Formats: sequence, structure tokens, C-alpha cells
Amino acid sequence: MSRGHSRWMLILLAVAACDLSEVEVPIGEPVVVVQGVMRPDLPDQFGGRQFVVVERSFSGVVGRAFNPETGESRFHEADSITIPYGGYPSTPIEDATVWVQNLDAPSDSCGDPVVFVSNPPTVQVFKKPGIYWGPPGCPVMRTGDVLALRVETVDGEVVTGTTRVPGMNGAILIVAGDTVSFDVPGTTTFNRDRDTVRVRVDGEAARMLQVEVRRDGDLTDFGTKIYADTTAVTIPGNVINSFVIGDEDDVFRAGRGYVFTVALTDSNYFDFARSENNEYTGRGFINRLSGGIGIFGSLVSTTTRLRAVGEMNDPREGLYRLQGVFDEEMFVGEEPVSVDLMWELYIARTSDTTEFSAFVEGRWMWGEIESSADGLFQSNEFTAIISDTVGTRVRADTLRGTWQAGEPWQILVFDQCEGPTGVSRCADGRPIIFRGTMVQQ
Amino acid sequence: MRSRESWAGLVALLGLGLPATPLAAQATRAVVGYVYAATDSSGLAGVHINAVGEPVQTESDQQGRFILADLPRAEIRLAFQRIGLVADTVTVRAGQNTIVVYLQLTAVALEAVRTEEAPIARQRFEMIAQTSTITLDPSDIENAPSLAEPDPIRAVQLLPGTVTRNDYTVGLNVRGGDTDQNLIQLDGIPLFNPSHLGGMFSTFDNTAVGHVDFLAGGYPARYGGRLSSVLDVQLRNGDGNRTRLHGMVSFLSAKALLEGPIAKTGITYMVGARRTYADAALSLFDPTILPYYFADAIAKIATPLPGSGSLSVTGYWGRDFLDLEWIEDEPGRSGVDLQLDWGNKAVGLNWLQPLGPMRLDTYLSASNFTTGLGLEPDIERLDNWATVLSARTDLAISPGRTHDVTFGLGVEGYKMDFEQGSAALETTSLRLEYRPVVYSAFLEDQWRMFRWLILRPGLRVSHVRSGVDTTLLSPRVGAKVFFTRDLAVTGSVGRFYQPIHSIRDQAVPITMFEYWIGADSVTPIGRSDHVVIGLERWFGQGLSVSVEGYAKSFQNLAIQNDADDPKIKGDEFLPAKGYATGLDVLIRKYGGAFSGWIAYGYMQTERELEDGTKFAPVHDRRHTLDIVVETRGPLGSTMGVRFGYGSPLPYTGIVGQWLHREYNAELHAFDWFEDEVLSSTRNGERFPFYSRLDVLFRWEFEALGGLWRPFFQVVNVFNRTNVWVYSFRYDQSPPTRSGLSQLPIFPTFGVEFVF
Repeated sequence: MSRGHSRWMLILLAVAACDLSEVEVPIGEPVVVVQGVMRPDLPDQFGGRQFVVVERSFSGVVGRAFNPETGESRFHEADSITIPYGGYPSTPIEDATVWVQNLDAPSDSCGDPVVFVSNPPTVQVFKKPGIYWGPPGCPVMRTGDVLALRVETVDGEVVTGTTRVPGMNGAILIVAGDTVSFDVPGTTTFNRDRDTVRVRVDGEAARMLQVEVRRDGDLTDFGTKIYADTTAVTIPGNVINSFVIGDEDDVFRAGRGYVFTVALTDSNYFDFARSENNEYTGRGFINRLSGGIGIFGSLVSTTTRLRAVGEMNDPREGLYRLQGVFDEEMFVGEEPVSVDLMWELYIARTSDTTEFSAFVEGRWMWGEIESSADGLFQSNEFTAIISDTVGTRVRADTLRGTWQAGEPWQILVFDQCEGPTGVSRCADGRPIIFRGTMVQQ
Repeated sequence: MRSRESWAGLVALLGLGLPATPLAAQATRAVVGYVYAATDSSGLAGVHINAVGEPVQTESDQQGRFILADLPRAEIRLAFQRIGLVADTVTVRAGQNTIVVYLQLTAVALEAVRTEEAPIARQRFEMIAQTSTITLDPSDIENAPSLAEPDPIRAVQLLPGTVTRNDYTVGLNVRGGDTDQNLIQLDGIPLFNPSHLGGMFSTFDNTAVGHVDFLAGGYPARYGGRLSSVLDVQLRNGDGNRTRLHGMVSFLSAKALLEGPIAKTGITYMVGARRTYADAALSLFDPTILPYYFADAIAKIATPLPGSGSLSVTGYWGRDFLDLEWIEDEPGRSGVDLQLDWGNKAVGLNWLQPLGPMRLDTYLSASNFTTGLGLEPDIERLDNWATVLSARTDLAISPGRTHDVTFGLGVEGYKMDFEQGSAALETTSLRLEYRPVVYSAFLEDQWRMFRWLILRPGLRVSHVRSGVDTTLLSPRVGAKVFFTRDLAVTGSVGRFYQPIHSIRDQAVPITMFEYWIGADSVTPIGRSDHVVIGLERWFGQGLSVSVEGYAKSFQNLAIQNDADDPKIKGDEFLPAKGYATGLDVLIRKYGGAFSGWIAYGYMQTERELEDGTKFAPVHDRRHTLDIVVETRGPLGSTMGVRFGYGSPLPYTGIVGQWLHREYNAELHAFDWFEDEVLSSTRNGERFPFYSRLDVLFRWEFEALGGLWRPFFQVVNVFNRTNVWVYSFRYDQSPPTRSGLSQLPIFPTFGVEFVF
């Protein structure tokens, strides 16, 4: 059964039946879980190091609500945070011996085999139990090479697997009649209301195409993943992300930039991504590891950027110019900063048409920016958050004000205190006063 | 002791041929006729007909048809009699070869109805060397408590040899076989999947059913294409006397059936429709609850033909609708709906034509089954379409007083397609098609070798064209040895082939999607060998006891392959083999103060994959007991009671959970996960045993010019919690198990009416 269908079955089951009372059952059988995807195409990420996650399955000995650092049974979000960007397995297997070997280049400079450790001599990676890191640039991975994995726990459990490294010769994007190569840096603009984004990829030793769409400037947005057993895929601009139900279920919204990634995967990854164990039959997942469960696969990818615009049918949509000045009290000893931002604003296709997104470009509080903003209309008030990426951190700057059709919007306050990251310029918790107007051009 | 002429007449009762022998043809004649009830023109079975002053007699079959052979050509008188009917005598003129007789019912009509079944089963016992055969008539079906309304398949599920996996399915697992191994026919039209979505309701409307024949194994050479059983559902003809309207309104559904003659042409029609409406009722409270309903319709036109022939056309249409809003519509953007499609369409023609001492029986049919699952519009979709066009003709002859030979030819053309993909993304994940064509011929003989010995040798030859041409021989042999008039031992052996498979995972507790494939260069033809031996004892006309042991082997089965690669044709399934052994006991009482049956089955079955992995299939139930009783109930009702017991069924134990992480290529990270279970040995655990008590009360009275039959029934009277599925949580300490149950106590009520 392909992934996702069992949850549809659960809906029908729940309609038809009654619940059984919950009873305690014996402790289950723990299994070694290994998940690792080798990347020959990221020489600079994590200092050029590959990683493998080694953890134990849940058997009822301890629950997920267990903090291995404190030994306390309280819920923590280790599993929910991206690994290895702060997340880590809540049931890690420590002190395992993890090897990866290139069977087609056994005598390369990396050694034979390449040993992965959980505490490598570097500050460039996130170190936590259960995450095992290889040395920089190792193992050597060429298109078509076969890599072998071996994990051995201190209890003598052994998990093995192999993967054949795919290669990507090129990828093109076809949108609005234009063909753009992923190799060419830049941003492609398309109209999400009428255009279709087509991707064609040329590769070797590859089995599946994975397409990822993520909101540019927001690393917390997991975006959309599309899997296709082909080398080409078409994504209508107005397609809905049907497997994620929430406020933003359009894959593309006008007024937003997107990071668009296409990846070619090996066959192990293909099986890993498309299968899952059915909750009731216990079967379905295609496991290509021996002695454990999980994935040892490989993948190559390339990325470009998209800029989604749309049809402007709502009178609130259009080009705006935001001008204003910050409260002098904020800039003691400094020159007050004036702001001059151009907005290209679009209303989101929601039932209440209260949400909007906009491209923003110009002089902002911290200097010149080219970013986007999301906002919300509530009666005659509005709120807008400008997302700004500074290095690898995302800063969210909040504006509030009032608006009236045909009149300049009055910006009443700028409040950086509520931003999730970034430098707070708030003095004793007071919002920063900003007086400005937004005038439709 | 019956004369050989009467044996031949009884053979004719079962539609196997005309009794007249060639040597007697010049000096005698055969008279073919129908005997109907005067009240509603329904066919009367079991009516004894004898030629006054002549040693010629017979009995009418289920359709009220009879044939008397070796009658003198001069004018004769025929006497008609049966318990519950007013006896009558009619004159048949010289040169007259056909006759239709209408008989009046007497005051003890109920008794007559209750004894109606006994003669058929008794006559089958006396005449036929055929194991494992049971006939149900509409009263058997309607007096067995069921979910919402009488259902022929649910009644069959109460017979020995069948295992019902849960309350929500009408799937038949017969003597260790899978649900796709049953040849299910509606007036000779094969149906792929005679159920509605989820498997809770079958496609058969009991109001239109004439009778149901269930052959649980060792069936004769005239049947082919399936490994385990035959379920032959015959619709009755429409009332030839006057127009009638039947209806039923119940807690869950409503249906109506209109029948009658077409002027004075002799042509009859019957058309009926049914719809569930729980969705409409519940939508008054919340429109998002249960966006599901099904509707179906059935129609039959029958006409007599010259020479006592008949022609009938039967049609069926059924469709299930489930449309669940997944994502709401927004201005300028359509939402997404989860849609499930499920439907059957079938049409068939049957031409029955006596040709002197022979009878020609011809069937033409087209049957289609479709199932689809999708996120619409165009996000993702799976579809399976299965169609079969079939034609066959059987010729029955009696080249002697002790032989009834049937020869038949047939052809079935299958067209099965499966497609999975996304129109929005312009991708097709999988596309398969199967086009097997099966040519078949059979020859069988019912040979009354001695008074105490009946043999039924037969041979079926099938040629399958499916990329690889294959010719298959299916010998079928049956024998019956009488020790006394009321005690016989019957045995049968046979080989059976099946060129199509459903590889839907039958462990999934609810049927949402089917997956039919056909034999081709990489998909094998399934094979099964049956050995059945049984003993049957009658105690008068009203009580029978039968005990049957069986052994079956299975080869070349197709089990869903979870790891199938969409780019590889032929890996959609895993080849498997298996076996089943068991013992079925049926004690059946006909008529009297109470009637019904006790059915017990012992069964053991196993499957084995090519890699040597052995497991019990999900229907491996050791003991099954069903007790069905119909008797007088309180307040003038007719009461039906059913008690069912089933020993534990297997399931796959869950022994842990793991986090199936989701990989982000841009970030080179695992950015999400889904909980998944870890399982132990396939089907290595057992659910608790199953039991359920159901009660049905039915009344009958006349009012407003019609007949009214209100009913009230309670399913699972003791509200026993029968486990349906388990769910486990190992991500907490201690680990726990919960789940869902099968039907709780469930009262339903409704009323039937006839005008």
C-alpha cells in the first residue's frame, strides 16, 4: 500500500466501528533503525561530511516522552526538529560502529572502510547521540559507485545495506514558454494562476525524481515534496498540496519566492519514500537493509528559485510604496532611518480573502532588502510580517496599521520584539514606533 | 421405488434434459409445462404430476417447470398435487405438447412454503452425484437475521464450509479458499465482485431472487474459471399474471420492485431499484458525516418462445459513492475531494430451447466491475477496470434411460486494466493491462449405473490465450453409493483452474479497492485439486444430516507483492501455494414447528511463498458454528434466530514502532517523520473468538389492498465485543493495545409491502 492510503482507510474504519478499551501489552521487540542518505553533490555542507542516524525502535521500554539526557519521562521535541539542524533521535543507539565503504573504489584516500563517529573533531556539525558523521569528503562517491554500509551496535546487532550512487547530468525548468537551466543562477518568475512549471532531468543510475518546493527565506517551512517515478514532472501553478491540510495548502502563493529543488534518487530511496507499513496488516514497507530497518540510499539534487506572481483581480492587489520614519528615541546618537519599500501585493486564494503576500524591495530598517511579506486584513486593520534572511537566520519584522480602500495605509507600529529570531531593538518591551504610509501606485 | 421414467422426469426437473428416449419417440410424446400459483403466478416447485392411468410421473422444478416423457399421444389427464395446494387435474389434448397450470394455495400455505425446500434437496440426494451443494430460496434468506435487509450472500455465509472474517464483509472464504476464488453468477452472468464498497452489502436484492445454489467444492465440469466454489444466483421471472409492486423501507435503505406481464404477450418484466440513505438522514444534523451511499438497480425481461423455449434478458447496475471533502473550495480555487468509486454493471441473455429429446441452453453476457480511489480533481488516482464478455452454450441430451449427458462450449474474453497516476503532475506511476481469452468445452454425464450407484464423470478442457497459449484439462468425477434409500456416501474429485486473480491484500480489514489481474506470460493460472467425500442421511422428508470431509491443494496463487516495482511487469504478486483440509457438518430441518439448520465446519489452511515462508491466511478459522432457526415468535410473528461462533482468526502481531523519517534534499536533513508499526510473524497471532446472537421478528398482514410485512431485528443481542482490528502503541511505557470492534448491538426495523 502506498504511503497515505492507510490514513484514508482509518477514516472509514472509524466511521463504522466502536473503540476497544486500551489494555497493557508486553514489551515489544526493539529493532535497530538506520537512516542515511549519501550525498556526493554537497562538498561544502557540514564541512563535506555525510551522516547516518542510528536509533532504536520504540518497544514500550521507554516512551517517546523520554529525555535521554535527563532520564526524565517528559515530552521533548528532539525528534520533531530537523536532523541534524538541532534535532536528534530520542532513542539513539550510542557507541555503534558505523562504516561506509565504496565497493568500486576500495583503496581511495578515504580509507577502507570509512568510519563514521558521533563526535567528530569539528564544530561544523551538530553532535548528538545517534548521529554519526563521516570524515570530510568521504567516502568517495562517483556516479554508479556502489557504497556499502555496516552498522554494529555494542550488543552485537549488525545492520548492512548497499546503495548505487545516482548522477545528474542536467535539469531544466520550463515555465511560461521559457526554458531555464538549473545550472544558471537566478530566479524565474511565473504566474501561479495560469502557468505550469515543468521539470526535465537527465540522470544516470537514478530511480526516482523528488521535487521540493520551499518558501524562500523560511527554513521552518517544510514545504511540499512530490515524488515521481519518472525523469519529468509537471506542477500546475495552482496545485494544492493535498497531503498537508492546514492554512496554507496551496503549493504556490502569489507574492512569494520559492526554493525549487529537484533530486534524483537511487532505488533504495525510491522504495523508502513510496512505502510504509500498514497499521493493521503490519506490512508494506520495503526495507532494503539487512538486520535492521530504515534506509541507506543516495541522492543528488540541484536548486533554483521561483517567484510566484498571480492575476490581480482584487482591488487591494497591486503595487504599493511604503515610506516612513522610525521613532527618534530608538536611534539615540544615530541618524533616524527612513524607509522606502516597494510592495507587490497579492491576495491569497482563501475563503475569507483576508491573507496576502507581497514581494518587498528597497530600503528597510537594516539596509537594502529584497524579500517577501505575509499579511492579514482584519476589519480596517492589517498586520504584515516582513521575512528577512540575515545569513542563515530568519528575521520577522511586524507592521501594524489601518487601511481603507483608495486611501494610503497608515502604518502605526513596527514591532520587532515579536520576531522569532534576530536582534531585538525593543527597549524595556515597548514596541518601536514607526510612522509611515503605504500608497498604491 | 420410482420407475426409470420417473427418474428421467426428475432429471428434467433439474433442467438436465428431456426424458423421452429415442426408441420411444415414435409412439409417445413429451409434454412440457409450467405450474404456477394462482395468486401471484410464481413458479411452484415440488408439485407432483402424474399421468392418470399411466406409469409416468414427475415433479416441478424451482421455476415450476416440468417435463413428462413417454406419454401416449392420445388425450390424457394430468393430476397435480402438493401439500399446501389444492389438487387439480387437467386434460391434455392429443397433439398438445405444452401446458400451463395455475393452482390455488390452501390455508396451510406457510407449511407448504416450508416444505418447498425439502423436495429439492431430497431429489438432489436421490438423483445427483454431487457433493457440497446447498440451495437457498428467498424465505431461507429473509428469515436469517442480517444487517439491515435480507442478503443472499450473508445467508450463504451461515452455511458450512464458509468463513466470514468479520461483520462488515460479504466476502466468501470457502473451504480455505480466498474471496476471489468463487464463481459468482447472476442468471449465468459472472460477477467479479458482488459487493458494495467496504464489503458490507452484496449486490443481490433478495426480492428478485428465485433461488441460490451454493456448491462449496468438487463441482461439475460445467463450471470453470474459479478454484473454490460456485454461487449461482437465479432471479425469478416477473409475475405473469398481474402487475405487482414490492417495496421495503428500513433503517438504512429503501427499495422497490415492479413486475408484471406485458399486455397478453406472455412476456414478463421485473425492474427494481435500491438506495441506502443513512447519509441523507445524518446530513440533516451534519453534512460532513458519512458522505457515502450506494444505489443499484436490477431488471429482467422474460418471454416464452415456441417449442416451450424461453428467452430472458437480465441487467444489473450498481454504484457506490463516497465523496469526502479533503480540502475546502476557496474563491478562485477548487478544493480537493477524496473520491471512491465502486461499481458493477452486467447484462446477460439466456435462451433456453428444448429440441425434441435435447435441450439447448445458451448464455451471452457482459460484466464489468470498476473501482477507483482518488484525490480529485486530478491530484492522484488509482483505477482498476475488469470486464468479461462471455458466451456459452450447453446441450443436454439423454441417450438412454440411465444417462444424462451435457456437452458445452464457451468463450470468455477478459479485459483488465490498472492505472495509477496524477493528471495534474502528468505522471503515470503504473499501468497494467491483461487480456486473457479462455475457450472451454466440457462433457459430463450423470450415469445411473445401478440403482444404488450414480456416477458423474466429466471433463472440462480450457484453452487460455494470454501471451502464452495454454491448454488445461480438468477432470471431474463424482460418485454416489446408496446403502439404503435414505443413506448414501458421495465423493468427488476434480481439478480446477483460474485464469484471473484479485491481488488485493485480504488482510486489510475493509475493502476499499480491488486489484484484478489476469493470466499472461508472467502471471500464472491458478490451480486447485479437490477431494471430497461425504455421507448424507435423511430422516423422512424433513430432516437431513450431511458430513463431508475435504482436502484441497492450491498452486500458482497470486498474493500481493508489497515491493512490486512499477517498471517491472509480473512482480505485482508473489507466487504461492497452499492447502486446505476440513470437515463440514450440516443438520437441516425442513418445515414443521421450527426449521433451519446447524452448520459446523472444521478447517485448516495454509499458504507458502516461493521462499518457503509459510503462514496462515487471515481466514484460517479452525471451528465455525452457525445455528439458524425459524419458528413462530411472539405476538403472531415469525421469528428467526441465528447464533454464530467462530474460533480465533489470525492477524499479524505488532511488536514495536519506528520513526520513518522524511528526507529533505535541499537541506540534506531529515525534516519530518511518520510513525510506523513493526510487525512480527505474518498472521502469527490470533484474535479472541467470535460469537454473536441475532434475532428477527417478522409479521404479515393485509391492509389497504396489499400485503404488509413489518420486521424488527436485533443484531448482536448480547452486545458482545468482537474484535475487528487492533492498534498498538509502543512509543509509551507501558505499551498498550486498543482497537475497533465489529458490530455492536444493532437494532433495525423496516417494513416490506406488496401490492
